[in-house]
Amino acid sequence: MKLRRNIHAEVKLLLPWLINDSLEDRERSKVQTHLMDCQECQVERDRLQTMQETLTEDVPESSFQTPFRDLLSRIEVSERNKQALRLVPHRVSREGLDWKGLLAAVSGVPALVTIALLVVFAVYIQVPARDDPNFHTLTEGLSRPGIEHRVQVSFESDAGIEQVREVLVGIGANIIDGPNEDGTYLVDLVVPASLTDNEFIVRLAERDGIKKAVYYLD
Amino acid sequence: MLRAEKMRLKKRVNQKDEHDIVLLQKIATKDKVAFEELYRSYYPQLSRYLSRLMRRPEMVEEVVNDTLFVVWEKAAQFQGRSKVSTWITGIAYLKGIKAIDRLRMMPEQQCAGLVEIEELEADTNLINKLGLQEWLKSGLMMISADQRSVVELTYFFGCSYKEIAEIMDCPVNTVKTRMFHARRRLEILLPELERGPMEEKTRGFVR
Repeated sequence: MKLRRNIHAEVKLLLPWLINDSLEDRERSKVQTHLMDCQECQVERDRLQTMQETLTEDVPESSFQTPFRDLLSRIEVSERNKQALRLVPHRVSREGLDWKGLLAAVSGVPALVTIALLVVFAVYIQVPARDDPNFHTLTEGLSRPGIEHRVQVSFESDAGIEQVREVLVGIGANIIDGPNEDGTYLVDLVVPASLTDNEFIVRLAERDGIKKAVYYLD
Repeated sequence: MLRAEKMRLKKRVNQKDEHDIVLLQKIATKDKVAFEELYRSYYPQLSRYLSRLMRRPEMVEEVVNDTLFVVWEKAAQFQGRSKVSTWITGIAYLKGIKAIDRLRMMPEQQCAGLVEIEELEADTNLINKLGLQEWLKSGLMMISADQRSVVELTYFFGCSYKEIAEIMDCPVNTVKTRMFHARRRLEILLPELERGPMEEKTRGFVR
């Protein structure tokens, strides 16, 4: 009884495809066998048959010429655009320095790579190369871990820009601000663990070109 | 249908598919003459299918061209895993559904649709005005696009449920279920096909 109900449900689902004659032979045979005994499915089949006949009217002839011409125009535009894209590198190589072409080519470089390079460059110019043999420390212990302090450093009035830069780079200063009207820079410096804060600032003030060095108190 | 007649029909379908494959191969080499032949062959049925699917006759031409533009662009990628007609109708289905989604984003379009449905609901003499065939068509407009697509592909295009599953990219059981629900909604109308309109049936049909 349960099996019969299952078959009935299955046949009911398949009836539309019996009507349009697209069932496989095995399914069709199953459906037709069930139909011989089931009045409900026979009524349903007749309804679906009527529906199929009602819906299947002829498709009115419609002119395809105008829409086809529209599509051809669209295809031509698309083809031209594709060709233009293919020509960009060619123009660069044949016509020398073509800035538009160059920009188009550069825009193809993934943005992430560009950003990564900029970040690396920024870090490089900000952080002093502490392993560089030309890097002069105030003491031997500068490369060891220490405490960072903010310091105001004033230079002699006759110190040129080159000397100022050499000193600041030499002491591993990270410039925060300056120079102000007095030629004073605000810098961050690491006080080596081997020196007291006082010893460090005294030694700093004794360096050539430096007029005054004091801890910055904000 | 007689077995011999069925065999002839199947042979014709297979021949058409073989010819379509040849056309696609030529289109893959950007042969515009072959493309025109394929366009002429598919334009009427795609227009009909999309007008039923989308309920927006003014958009049909545009979506037919969207579909056949993809065929032009991707002809070389056709791998022959289905019939050419199934492949093209599948593209049309996707384009049609996308167009429906676009319409839903546009409030004024949505409102226009609602007004039409309200007018239909209010007019109890509509069956007499339209005639049975037109009334059934109107009924189709009021079931979901997916259900409508299954009904149309079955009754008008004669697709098997497996082909419909390929076209709509869904399991075969989903196709059967969609058809079942569409039938349940439409069957309220079916007695009218034999006996004439009845007001209460009309009311029962409209959502």
